[in-house]
Amino acid sequence: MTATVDWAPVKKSYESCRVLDIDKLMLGEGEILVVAGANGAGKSTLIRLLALVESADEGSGEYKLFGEPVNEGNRLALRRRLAVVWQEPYMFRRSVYENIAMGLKWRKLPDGVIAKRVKAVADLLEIEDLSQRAEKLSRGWAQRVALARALALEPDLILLDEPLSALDRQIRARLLAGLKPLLSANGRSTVYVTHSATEAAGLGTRRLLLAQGRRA
Amino acid sequence: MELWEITWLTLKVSASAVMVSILLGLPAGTGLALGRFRGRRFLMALANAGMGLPPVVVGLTVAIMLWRTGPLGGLALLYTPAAMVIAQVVIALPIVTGLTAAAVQSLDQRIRLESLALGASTGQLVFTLWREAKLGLLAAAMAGFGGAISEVGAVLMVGGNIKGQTRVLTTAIVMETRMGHFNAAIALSALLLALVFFVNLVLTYLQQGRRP
Repeated sequence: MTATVDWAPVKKSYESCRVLDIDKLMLGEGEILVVAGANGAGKSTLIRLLALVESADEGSGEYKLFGEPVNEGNRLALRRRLAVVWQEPYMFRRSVYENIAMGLKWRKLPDGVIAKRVKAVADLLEIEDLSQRAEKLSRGWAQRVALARALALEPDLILLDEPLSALDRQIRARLLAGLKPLLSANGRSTVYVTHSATEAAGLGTRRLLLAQGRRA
Repeated sequence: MELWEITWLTLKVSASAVMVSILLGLPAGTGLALGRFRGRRFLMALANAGMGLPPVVVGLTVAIMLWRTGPLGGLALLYTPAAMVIAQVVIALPIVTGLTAAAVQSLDQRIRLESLALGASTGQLVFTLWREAKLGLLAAAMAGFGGAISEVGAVLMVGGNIKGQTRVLTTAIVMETRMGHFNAAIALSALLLALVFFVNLVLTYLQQGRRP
C-alpha cells in the first residue's frame, strides 16, 4: 500500500529561526493523524508544507505525496488531490454557494456535479442559506463553509488546522460525530490539528505531539 | 457637427489609452506586488514617480521619438490620434501600474494561501486576486482615465490640435481661450466635465455593485 505522506526529515526555518524539525512523517491511506501542541509548536507550518503552499528548507528529505516525489511539474496536480481548512479561513467576496463551488469550478467539473456536491456538504454541515455573502459570516460559520469547501473537493488527503475551534462545544461535538466517518472514507487520509484533548482522543488513529517544532 | 467629432475623438483617444494602460499596467502592477525579484523596489519607485510625470515632458519625449528623424519617425505617427494615444498611455500607465500594485499588495495574505489550497493554477490565482481587489483596480482605471482625458500639454505637442484630425476637447478649450472666445471655452469645458462624470459614473456603478 502506498503511503499518502512519506517525508523524512521535514525542516523549516523563517529568517534562520528553525520552526519545524521532524525526523520522519508518515501517513498511510485511510489514517487520521492528530497533531497536537501548544501555540508556536509548528502545527500550522506543518500544514502549509504538507499543502504545498510553502516549501521546506533545503535540508529536508524528499516529500513523497501519494507515492510521487513532489516537484515543480506535478505540484498543481498533487495539490488538487488535497484540501485544507485553515484555522482562520478566508471567505471570498461572493456567495456561500460560490465559495464552496470555487475549487470544483477550478477543476472544471460540470455544473450539475458541482450543484450536487455543494448541496451534499451544505446539508452535512447544516448550512442552510447558500445565497448569503460569505465575507459577512461570523468566524464559526466561516469555519463551517471552509469545511464544506474542502469536503466538496472529495480529496484524498484533508488537512484540518483547528477547523472547529470557533464553534461552541455542543455544535462542535455534533459536527465532529458526522465528520469522523468522512475523514477516512474511501482511503482518504487526514491530518487534524487540534488543541483539544477531547477532540484528539475521539479522532485519531495516530498522534504527533509537537513542542517547539520537534516531536515531543 | 465639429463638436460631435471633437467629443467622439476625445473619448476614443482617452478610452484607447486607458485600455492599453490597463492591459499593460494590470499585469505589471500585479507582478510588482507579488514578485520577489531583484530591482522590484526600484521599479515600484519608478511607477510611483511616473504618476507625477509632467505632461509637457511626456509630450516633448514622445514628439522627439516620433519626429521624422527620430527613432520611430518611420511610423509617421506624429500629429495623428495614435500619437495622442501614445502620449496618454505614458501618462496613464504609471498611474494604473502603481495603483494596481498598491491594491493587490493590500489584499489579505490568506487569499493566496486559500486559493492555492483550493487548487488554483497561477492564472486562476491571479484572476481571483483581481476579483478580490476589484474596488482598488476600478479606482486605478478611473484615476488613469482622469489623468488621460484631462491632459492637454502632451496631446497638443504630439497631436497639433489639427481641425478634423487631432482636435480634442482639452486642446479646443485652450484654443478658444487664446482666441478670447470664452463662451465657447466654457461650453466645451462643461461638455468635458460631463463626459468625465458620465464615464466615472459607469465605472463607479461597476465598482460599488449592488450596494445602495
